[in-house]
Amino acid sequence: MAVLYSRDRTSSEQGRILDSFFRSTRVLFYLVRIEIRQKYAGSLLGMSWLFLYPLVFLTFYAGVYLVVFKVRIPELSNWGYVLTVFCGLVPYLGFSDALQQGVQSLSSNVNLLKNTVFPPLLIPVKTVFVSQVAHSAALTVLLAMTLASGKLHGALWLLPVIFILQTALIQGVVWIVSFLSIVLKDIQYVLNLALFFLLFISPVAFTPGMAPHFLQKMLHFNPLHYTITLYRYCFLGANQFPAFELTVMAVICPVVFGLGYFFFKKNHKLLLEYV
Amino acid sequence: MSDPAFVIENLNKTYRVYKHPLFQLLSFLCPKMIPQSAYAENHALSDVSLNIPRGSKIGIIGKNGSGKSTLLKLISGRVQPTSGKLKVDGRVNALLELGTGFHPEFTGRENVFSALAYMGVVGKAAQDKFSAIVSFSELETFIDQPVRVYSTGMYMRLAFSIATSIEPEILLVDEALSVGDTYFSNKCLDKMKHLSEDSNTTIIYVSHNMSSLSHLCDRIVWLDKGAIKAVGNPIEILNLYDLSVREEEEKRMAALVPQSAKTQTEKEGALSEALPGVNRPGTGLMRVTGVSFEDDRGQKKHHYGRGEAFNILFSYRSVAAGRPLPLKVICGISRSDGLLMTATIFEVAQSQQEGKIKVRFPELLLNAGNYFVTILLYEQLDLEGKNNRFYVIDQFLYDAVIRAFEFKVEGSPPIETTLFNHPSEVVGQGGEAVTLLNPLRTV
Repeated sequence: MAVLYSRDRTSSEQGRILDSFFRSTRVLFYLVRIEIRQKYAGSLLGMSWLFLYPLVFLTFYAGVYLVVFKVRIPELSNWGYVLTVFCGLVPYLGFSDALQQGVQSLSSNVNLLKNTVFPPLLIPVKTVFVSQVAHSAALTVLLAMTLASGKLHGALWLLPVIFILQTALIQGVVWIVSFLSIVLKDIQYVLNLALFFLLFISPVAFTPGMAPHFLQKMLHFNPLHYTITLYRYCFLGANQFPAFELTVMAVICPVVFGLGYFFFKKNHKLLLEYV
Repeated sequence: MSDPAFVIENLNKTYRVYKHPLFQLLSFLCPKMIPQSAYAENHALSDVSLNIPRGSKIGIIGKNGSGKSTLLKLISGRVQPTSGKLKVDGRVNALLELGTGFHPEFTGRENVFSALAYMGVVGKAAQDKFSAIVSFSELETFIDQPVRVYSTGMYMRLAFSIATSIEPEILLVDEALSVGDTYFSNKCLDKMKHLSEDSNTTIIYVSHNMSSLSHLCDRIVWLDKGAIKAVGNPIEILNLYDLSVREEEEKRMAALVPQSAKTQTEKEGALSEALPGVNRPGTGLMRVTGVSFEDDRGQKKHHYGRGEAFNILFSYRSVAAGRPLPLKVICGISRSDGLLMTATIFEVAQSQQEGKIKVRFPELLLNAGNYFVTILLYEQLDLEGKNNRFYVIDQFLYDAVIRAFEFKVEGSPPIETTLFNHPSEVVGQGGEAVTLLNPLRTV
């Protein structure tokens, strides 16, 4: 019988932890699958919304830029510019959606908190994973668009690396903010506003080179700047290899992940005091 | 008994209710800076000690807000005690909330797998459990329909079947069975009994339903205002609890209907002469002094066969010498779960200071089981009014001996689920010979 954290008195402590880890992982993946199916259950188009949504959204966006506003950037072709924007927009939307869902993961799953068998640590993880699945669908659509337009010149091997690093970053933050939003509900609203603000100071509709000087300096404190630069290189190539950005991400993301993990581990027993 | 599933010593739990969300944040960031005036303390549990042996079935009863749920949350490990020792040895599965992981648009089948996953059961292990879950819930015909079309009872049946499909070492059940029909809740109780017997599961069952508590549990903990008021065998504790609930109810009703000043003083004068009754309600102007059972040959015994004659003898004593007090008596027989089987109601015209009364049942129609006798002495009985429930504790009650005396009926008919055998005759209309297979007298 597979039960999370089951107590088998005969197995060694180490074996037990490993065993429990693998079972948890398996259970987690199963639950993520279920939750995604639940999200679309009862709808006509079902799971195809996963791809349909970013596809329609990005097509609409491209239409507005190219046909309505007729945006022209001298050093980029029309499609080149649209794809450059998408390489910023898709990571931003993924980041923002994961945090918005994540911050509510505990407060909207109080029944799971009270259910003793499911580890509280995994509740925010589940939500982040669900959001990241939608994000990877959007990335797939972006990849398909880049391929179709013949602009794919990047280093695709970077794609999983960036994805994993960003997931780790989001997870670390979500562990902290989801807990804090239980203690103080206002955190949710503050976070939503901060994410909205982040849209304007992130190099989404522009490349760092186009930005005014003061904004260029600020970009170094914006985690999305690094992600977006990496994604642009990964899909469209162009600039030189973003070694600095990659190094920063490789250091920051695991650190934030670790901080979030220990913060949650240390405090999760206080959760029900505030619910 | 030497292997406790958990040990609880001097457990305290105090919740702080902060007067402002800011204080709540501060309490988390630096708890030492919080002034005493920033929160109200809510003592959910104080000084609770319990030692629960593995495999036992413990019932917890108490009014709302008596700390029952807090105790369960502490045992389940989701809440930290403020002080005290809590040692839980075993895997805890809580039925605090049924239907975790259910989605209305999913079919019953999909929800079974989803809910099992939340309990950590996936893959082949989940497949293996599926058919047992469905057959226990008796929802075979609905299992491929979305649960949003289920009735509440069906939903609960499925949820309960899933929750008890794994064999936890410790099962915490919080009022989960209150939904669903009697048939299914009895089935659930039996399931829990089997879990306890077959897998040595320790069960902590919180409920207001005295019948299911007495059916399932072998020990009852009565919580009152966050402290243990009494622990003991179910019948004893449930009776005490029942009594206290009724007393409170009557007090509330008495407060609504003010007595005239005259009767009040009259009563108070009379009460000074009241006969002592240990922990018994009533004015005490008359008391039951003894109860015994016997058959028609005068043999005192506690075991009776079906169809046998059964006599209840009780003696009473009154404070009034020379003047007979009005006396009305209810003599009831109830089953071990509290269900009232029959009641004999009569008036004694010329009561003496000390007397003895025999209530005779010429043929016991009750089927095999344990039964309890309740004797209530009243000055007045409101048989027509709204207050004609089986027993009320009002100003007219002299004495109440509630479910204190037990007797046993033996010799079960083939169908054991019937309560009693109503005398009946069967005649074949075409002249067929008919033999009654469960006659009352098995001579």
